[in-house]
Amino acid sequence: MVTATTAMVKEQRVDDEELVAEGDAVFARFNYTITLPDGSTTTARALAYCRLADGRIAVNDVMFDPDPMKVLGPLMAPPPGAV
Amino acid sequence: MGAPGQPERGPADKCRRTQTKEFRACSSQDEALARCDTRSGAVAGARDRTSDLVQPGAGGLRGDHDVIRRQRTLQLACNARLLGSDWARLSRALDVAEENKAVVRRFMSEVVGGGNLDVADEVLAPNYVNLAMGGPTSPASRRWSLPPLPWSKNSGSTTRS
Repeated sequence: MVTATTAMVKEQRVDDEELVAEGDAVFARFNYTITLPDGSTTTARALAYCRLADGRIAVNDVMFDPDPMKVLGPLMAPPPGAV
Repeated sequence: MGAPGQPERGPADKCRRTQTKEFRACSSQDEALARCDTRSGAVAGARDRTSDLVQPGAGGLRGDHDVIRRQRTLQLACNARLLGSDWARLSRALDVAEENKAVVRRFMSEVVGGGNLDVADEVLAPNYVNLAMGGPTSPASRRWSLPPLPWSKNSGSTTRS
């Protein structure tokens, strides 16, 4: 997702992040702003759950509101194998 | 003797009140923990003391991050003693949690926010899964999440221009 969005947006930004950690889990709350090449901007609130193993992120489960994919989806090429 | 309407308080409560005064005089966390160690009834006493620290009127300390951090550390120390846990082990767990936060913060600021895809290889595990993209069985997740990382320097995939 990072690669795909990075390739198609003009700018993306994470603001007002707040992190809470417990054991190998980290919960994050932040605002995610993307700017498309045409200059339009969308900001989503996000909650993310990350589970780390050996100091690196193994699982990332993030929920956005609104979902930036509604903006980016039409601009993305379908992944191989997708119907 | 307790206040009217209040249950009578025993030696342990007196000990806690004494320790509260002592703790307020402590200049460092180590000193406070040392006092906590040397007192009988230290667990309950330390809990009272740390609660005092973040109450309004406790010397204007409310909101002070150092004090809150000290309170949290002390409470965890007390919990560790209550549970019979090893303080050093608990301390290491706290360090790991802080390190994990730093990794996630770096991912968010440098990879997601900054578009620095080289950092992704450092902060993401080889078996990284993005559940938001449908999990490991999703074609989208395979494309964007599973090894080889699509943003890996060696994968030849799209990078930020």
